[in-house]
Amino acid sequence: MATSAYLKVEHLSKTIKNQPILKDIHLSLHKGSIYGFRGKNGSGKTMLFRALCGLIMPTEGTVEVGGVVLGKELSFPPSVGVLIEYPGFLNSYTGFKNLQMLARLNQMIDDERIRESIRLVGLDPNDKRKYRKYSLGMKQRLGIAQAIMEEPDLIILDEPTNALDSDGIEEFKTLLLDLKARDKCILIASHDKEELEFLSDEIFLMENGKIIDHYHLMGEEA
Amino acid sequence: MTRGRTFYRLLSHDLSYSLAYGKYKFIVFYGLIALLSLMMGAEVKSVANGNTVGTVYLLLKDNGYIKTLSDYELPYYWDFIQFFTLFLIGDFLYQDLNNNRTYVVLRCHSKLQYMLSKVCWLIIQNMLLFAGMFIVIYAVSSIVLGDFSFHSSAYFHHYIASLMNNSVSPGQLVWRIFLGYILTNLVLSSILLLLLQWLSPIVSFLGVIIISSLSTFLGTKWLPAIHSMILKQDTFNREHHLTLSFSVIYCAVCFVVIAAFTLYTFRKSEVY
Repeated sequence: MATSAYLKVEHLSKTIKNQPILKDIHLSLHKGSIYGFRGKNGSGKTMLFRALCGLIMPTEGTVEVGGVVLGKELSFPPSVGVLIEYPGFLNSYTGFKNLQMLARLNQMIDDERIRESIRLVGLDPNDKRKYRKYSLGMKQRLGIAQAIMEEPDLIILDEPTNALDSDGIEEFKTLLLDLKARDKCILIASHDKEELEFLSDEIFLMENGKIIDHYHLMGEEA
Repeated sequence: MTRGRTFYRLLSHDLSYSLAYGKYKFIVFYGLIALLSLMMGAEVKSVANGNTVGTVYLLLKDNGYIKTLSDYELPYYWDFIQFFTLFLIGDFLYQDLNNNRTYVVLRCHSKLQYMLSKVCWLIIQNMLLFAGMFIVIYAVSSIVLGDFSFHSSAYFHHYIASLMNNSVSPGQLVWRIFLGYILTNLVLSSILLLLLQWLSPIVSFLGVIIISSLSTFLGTKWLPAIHSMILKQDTFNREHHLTLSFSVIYCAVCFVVIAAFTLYTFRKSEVY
């Protein structure tokens, strides 16, 4: 692509307790694209996502987001929404109130935007049910809503379709394509090859902390 | 967004989240305190005219210094209050560090402010927790004893003041007891916050419980839990020179040092 990469990873390696977790990873990811990451459990997808968020520091290499090197000028990406494991939503609060609580931390959005995010993931923002009454699929949808509600430039979703039913997966695909059209840089990890290939512009295959293969869609092998 | 505003929002988040997260546990705790206050109030009433001061003393006192281990008696109520309050605080800290940290840190863009908010939350939460406990004890025992005052009652005169080496007023005694609990809990909960960064919640909690329990049979004033033991302070025991001012200064220094170390290590830590 002609435009400069929004997220640039060079020689990223991470070792924890003498165990290499990520090995020499290079990425050059652009806005307005969806990138899929596929690999077995323990292949390093979640660790890579954590490194891209600034939650873990590379043992070697750099992560640059929006022209800013993480760990130097900034500790965390300036505009990022993530879903990595379930957030600690409160059982006694409604979905809306849980998101409102998180949104108050940076006060970037108003209540109407929170409601819109809830609608976008197929939930009812006026649902009076408490979070404890939510099904697993509804919990997952609410997790996705918290990741996108502040309209971040970088969206990182780890196994976002876990527990979603077929309708939920279709709605999720529509949502992601809409976000892509709004110039977001989106990274998703999933075991589901078909789903990733439908959504992604480029797919990375991970094994033992390494990217062993990557290909652009339309059957174009890299 | 200024740092001050971010910090204020983080602290507000911690206070409201912890209250909503732990409300049923708080209700159980205060319910049990009310029950114990009822029992202690009845005990005071059975021997002499008394008021809240007698109930506070009976419920919150320890067993004093022991000369030999054969004299050891478990201070049940003291242990119960220490353990339950530490559980209430540790439960929220673990939930937040384990499930909220990623989402909160990425929104406030600062690990330092995130942890600083936890440290300040510890101070506020400890004060609120024991203020609530005082209100429950006061309300229940005053009703049971039919006396809402803090004056020097017959019970105070015969069963408390007679044991004192340094005479203090009933109000001062209540203040010293509660201040001691707050100081001890501040230090122990800051140790808990530090341990939770590396150890499992059960191991961290057990570690703090062991540190706390050591003071039930050891007399050293360098352990944090002794500062909540009124019978070991110079008000009741002159031999060991454990003064209120020493307790305040020592616990404040311990808290600041542990908190500073916690902030330092958390800043360097990673979120796996």
